[in-house]
Amino acid sequence: MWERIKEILEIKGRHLEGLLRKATVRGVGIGYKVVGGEVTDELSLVVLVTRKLKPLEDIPPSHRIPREIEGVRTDVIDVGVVRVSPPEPTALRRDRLRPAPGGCSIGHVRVTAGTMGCLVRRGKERFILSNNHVLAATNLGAKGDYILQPGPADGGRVPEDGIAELAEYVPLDFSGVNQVDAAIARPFSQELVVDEILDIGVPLGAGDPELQQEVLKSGRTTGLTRGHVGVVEATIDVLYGERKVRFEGQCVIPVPGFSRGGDSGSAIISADRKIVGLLFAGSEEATVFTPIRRVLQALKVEL
Amino acid sequence: MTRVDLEKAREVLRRHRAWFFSLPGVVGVGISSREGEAVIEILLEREPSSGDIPAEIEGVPLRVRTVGELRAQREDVGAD
Repeated sequence: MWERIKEILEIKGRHLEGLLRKATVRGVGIGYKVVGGEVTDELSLVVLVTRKLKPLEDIPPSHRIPREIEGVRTDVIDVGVVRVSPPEPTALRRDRLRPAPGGCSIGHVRVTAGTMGCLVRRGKERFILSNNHVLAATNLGAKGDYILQPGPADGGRVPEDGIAELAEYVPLDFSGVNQVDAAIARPFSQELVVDEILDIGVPLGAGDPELQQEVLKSGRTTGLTRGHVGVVEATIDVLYGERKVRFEGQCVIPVPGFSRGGDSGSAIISADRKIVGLLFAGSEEATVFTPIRRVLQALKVEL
Repeated sequence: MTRVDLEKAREVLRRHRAWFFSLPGVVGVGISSREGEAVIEILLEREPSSGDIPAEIEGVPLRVRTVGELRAQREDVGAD
């Protein structure tokens, strides 16, 4: 199945921009085709729209969604105003995926689950990037601990779902001011991971977040969502359980439903597919991320 | 946004950061923009009571936004 998903991911990559330009389209994913209310075993390109336009005749030809793209059937799903992605595309993200792409479920053995953000490099070595509170259990982890894909809350078990070992993390300071919530894990082998991020494709390096910039994220819980950067250079208090932890130099996406629990560790990506941030916190109303260059610098890695 | 505005907002924010966090329900403060002008945005856990927060400080407009509790976002089933 994974081979077919990879093929469809490539096809999707070629058509994503064109599809997103069409009226009411809010996202594109991969899921099982639904016919007459029944889920089939055929993988399809799922096109998320804010409302289905009817009848077909009213839609200008350039805004119609083709029934098939490069041999892959499409499935149009009405998601209303996008808050969360529908179950099919996100179900895939909670599965065991080998190789594992960015945007899927991951977690330290002692946590529930978060998101595998993307791969980062130091010399020739590639690491998985996510948060300290996902890969290092909020300072409780030790170098060499098992990292599971999917995360324990999604059924990941030791040892069969082990994909990496905790390599390094930036300790969270509960009484001081923090710059990042970040950690890296070393895959057990390079064949277990890929550079692709689900629903996005291969990222094109690092960028700086800017006010009002349109951004995307691809996360384990809410899938692909879109928003914009509303606040920069922010000092923020974030709750870790009952403990309040202060961060500085952060960015805020003031878009309801942009992320939920389990999306921590997602890469924040600009429209030109550069990674601009690492998501780590949020509420129903807003999402908080760290500018990616701060993260890379703190861990001494590159994209 | 002109550079002077942004620099001024940054400077005012830096000097008054502790005061912003002393206001009831404040969970964050940062720089935003409105119609090309830099503003200071204050993030609140709950709706403010009227009069809690002034409209501007040293000529820099203040804008409030209610965001609720900001939490570390790993899957919350059974977390912590």
